[in-house]
Amino acid sequence: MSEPLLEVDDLEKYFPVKSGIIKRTSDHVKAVDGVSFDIARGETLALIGESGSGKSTVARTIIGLTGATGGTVRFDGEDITNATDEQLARLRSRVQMVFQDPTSSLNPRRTIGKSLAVPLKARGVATSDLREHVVELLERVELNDEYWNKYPHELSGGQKQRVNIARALAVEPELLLLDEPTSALDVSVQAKIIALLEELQAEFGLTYLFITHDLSLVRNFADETAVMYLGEIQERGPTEEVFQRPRHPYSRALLSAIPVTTDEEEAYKPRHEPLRGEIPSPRDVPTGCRFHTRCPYATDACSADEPQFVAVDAGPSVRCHIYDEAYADAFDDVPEVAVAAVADETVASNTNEP
Amino acid sequence: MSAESASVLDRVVSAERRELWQRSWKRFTSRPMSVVGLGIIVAIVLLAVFAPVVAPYPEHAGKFTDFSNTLQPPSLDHPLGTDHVGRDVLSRILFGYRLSLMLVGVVLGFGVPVGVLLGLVAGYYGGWVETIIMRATDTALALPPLVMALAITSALEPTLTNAMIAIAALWWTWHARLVQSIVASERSEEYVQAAKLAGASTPHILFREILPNTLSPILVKVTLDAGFVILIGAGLSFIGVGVQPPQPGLGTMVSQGTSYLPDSWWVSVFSGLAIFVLVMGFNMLGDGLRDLFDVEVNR
Amino acid sequence: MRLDEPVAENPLLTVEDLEVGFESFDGLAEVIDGVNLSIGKGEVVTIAGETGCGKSVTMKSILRLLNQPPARVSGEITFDGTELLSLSDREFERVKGQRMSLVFQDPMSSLNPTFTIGEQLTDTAQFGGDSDTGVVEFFRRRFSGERDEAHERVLEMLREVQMPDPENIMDSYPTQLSGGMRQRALIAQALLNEPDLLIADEIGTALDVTIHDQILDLLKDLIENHDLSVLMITHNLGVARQVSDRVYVMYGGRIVETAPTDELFENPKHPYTQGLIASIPRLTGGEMATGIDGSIPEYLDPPPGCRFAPRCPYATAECEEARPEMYERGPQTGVECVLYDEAVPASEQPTVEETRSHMTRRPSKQTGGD
Repeated sequence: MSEPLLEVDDLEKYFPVKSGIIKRTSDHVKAVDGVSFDIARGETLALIGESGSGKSTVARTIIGLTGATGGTVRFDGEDITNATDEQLARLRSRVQMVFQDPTSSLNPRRTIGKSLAVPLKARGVATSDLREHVVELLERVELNDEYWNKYPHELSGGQKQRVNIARALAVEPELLLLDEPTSALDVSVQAKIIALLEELQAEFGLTYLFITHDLSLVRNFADETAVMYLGEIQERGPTEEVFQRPRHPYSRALLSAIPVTTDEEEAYKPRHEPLRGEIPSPRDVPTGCRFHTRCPYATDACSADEPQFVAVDAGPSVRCHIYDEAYADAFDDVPEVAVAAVADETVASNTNEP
Repeated sequence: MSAESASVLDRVVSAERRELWQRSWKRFTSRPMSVVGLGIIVAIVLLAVFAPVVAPYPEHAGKFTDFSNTLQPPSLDHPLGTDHVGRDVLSRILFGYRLSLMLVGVVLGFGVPVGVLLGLVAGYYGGWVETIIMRATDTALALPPLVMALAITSALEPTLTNAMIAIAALWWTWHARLVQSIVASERSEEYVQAAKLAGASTPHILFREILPNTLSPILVKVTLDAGFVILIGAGLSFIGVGVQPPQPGLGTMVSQGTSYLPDSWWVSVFSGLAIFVLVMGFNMLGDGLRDLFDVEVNR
Repeated sequence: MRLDEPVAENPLLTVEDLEVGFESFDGLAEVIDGVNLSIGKGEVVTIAGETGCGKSVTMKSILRLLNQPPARVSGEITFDGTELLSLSDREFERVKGQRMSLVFQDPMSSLNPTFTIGEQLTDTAQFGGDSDTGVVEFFRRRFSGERDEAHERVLEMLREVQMPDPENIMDSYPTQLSGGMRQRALIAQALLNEPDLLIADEIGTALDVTIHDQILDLLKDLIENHDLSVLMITHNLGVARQVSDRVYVMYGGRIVETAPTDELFENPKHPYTQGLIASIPRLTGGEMATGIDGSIPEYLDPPPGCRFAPRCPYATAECEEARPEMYERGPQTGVECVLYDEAVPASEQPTVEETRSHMTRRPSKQTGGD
């Protein structure tokens, strides 16, 4: 089997907290605290998380917008952790990023054409050929050539995001990091952008790291899904597995919290258990299992020992004592993973796909 | 894409662009204050440029005396009267405007680019670069411009040139600070990061991405500064360390006229009014521009 | 058959023929174009729609939060028998203060950061609905025993909204609270004066999923316990389904469909509603969500006739000429679409699946859509 395109191994990003008059580092915000995953070429990994999960920081660290404080990132076999300027320059043509807010990603004082010309010029396209290339890029994202002379404020949210995608594609990258690319858009627009991303992936063989807080978005789109909480991955596996049999209590809670519009989906969701309490601050990470302060199944063991990230049933990997045989006695109320088995039948009879 | 369709497209788009300008113009002209300000400045600039032609007695602006005609009150011949050596006040004011505008041009022409450049560099790089530049700025800002100008012109010769140098030497600090604060916040904006990711060079990011976003505040500040500069120049001239007689500095004229108050009031009063109108003009224009840009930003 | 009567039984709030225009540099923008809705006593009604559909403007015109000019509001808004638009500002403030409450959208910016939660909420408890309080009366109340009473009421309310550690929260500033806690504080504030009508503007949009979930659960309990009538504004159809009795779907400044919640989701009729539902990704997997081609109408120059026609896969010339009527298709159910005229056979009325397949068709080059 060929090497994965992106390998992230035990990535850490700590932000120092300075206090006192002489600004000594008193504490650390552990935004990313040991994150590992691989993405194979041509596939999509969805990274799910709420605020404080660290998902955006993971992307920014991978692409070099901020440095890692620990762990490694390998792209196509090459170690790019804390890349040198020379590495970064080479990387720019192979890894790109699309940000969440379509408006702030575009310079309000420059026309779309000018903004799109930037990566083209950096790639070495001659000035005389610029217009042609820009129009071609616009067409790839289903915008016609009228847009080349417009300013960002003349475009809608969806159109701006298409421009951002076009700009990311300008250097013909292999890996695209998408940081909540549709969160700022309406549902009807969101669906179109996702459809566009899927097509582009098929056409150009792109690999995606798709970051979002909206689980339902990635159901049909991602090959693998990883759920993050407070800087760690809590569950990771093939998307279907994670959705049909969510094992980690946090994944279950996330899934059960999604407001859906059909009875079918309602039945598919795990049993609804609203979580207690607030999301802790990454500055003040709970002891033991980070999730224990809100987990409906937490026991004493959970606040004392940190769970390891282990594979379950040759399927997804989970970070939870419930799935660790060593703690089997601690839990008398193991959540019914089998509930999803019923949903399996419902799903099988309703769709044509496995 | 054929050349023909390209030009049709360009025409369509420039029609839209023209519409944008029209709307901005409409917005600007909807505020009477802005229009009046603009009108005043345009009028004064034209008068100053064409002073040799427009002034009734252009030769009165320099070394000229006519002791038979001293301190004449305003009349048809001399609409603003004559001063204590018989020169036409109106003509001198027109040439005085020339000097004022020249002062503004030199001071801002030097001070603004230097300040903007330093502010860009300080704001973008941060760290010790920013510290060095901004602490220097802070120090310079702590010195009141008028007092400093006074000190410098007193130490050197009190001439207009030296006054200009003195003021210009301090003026960059305001713009450096203004630009630095804008750039410091803009540099973490996503469009800057996106440009970095796209492979843009640092000069490109500084001058093509960030700078255009600072132009509106700079333009407003420059316009309001102009009034300030004129007042400082007039102040220096008034106390005798700026424009020297026989040159028609407006401040100098006010100063000379004070000896003849209140009987021959017209010299001081009209010179003072001339300063007032010019400064007001700049202020009103500046306010109008600021409101105009505010609206655009909040769109 | 036209839907003329207000649909709610026992209506508390009725809006009839609401029209709101905005004067701008470029002309008059006709944003709200003849909206009719009603909320019954004890009912939870949602206005659902995407950005720019006019739901916020509608809500603001009910609460007189629009500046007139540049807004121009006309129509009839009746609250428990009183015609609101004809009241003076003072009279309206009294009605609003005592009987209506608004829970704002963004808890981050709706609380004053310079006052503690306790101070702000006790102020609301003591002075809410009494904007006429004179200076003397203000000081009297502020420093009397009534203050302690109000303080107690606030504590009670904070407990009811399940605020953790309420005594401590009373002494805390909004910046010290998390998003979820601020939202609870806002809800508590809204309920302090026991309103009859609660208006909730996009609650939870700024919150994390799991926190949002908690808040919605809380809201459902509160609605029941206080017998509230609620008008909810949201763009999230899933939320509308969870909480409401009836839903109004808005598009382009008009109500395009209304129905009891179950009916709307089991049997959406208007092509826009169908397109919207088809755009929501399915948790169960299967087909990709589709999205809707095109973009919302320009209010300065809206299309004549049906405002959705430019984007509708079933539009005919008739649709572009005249605004369709609101056809009644069942109890409290109405659709503003010619396809639902009685004369049209059921076979010609599209299902969600048909609309979905129409919208999955490859879009042509964008000339102005999304």
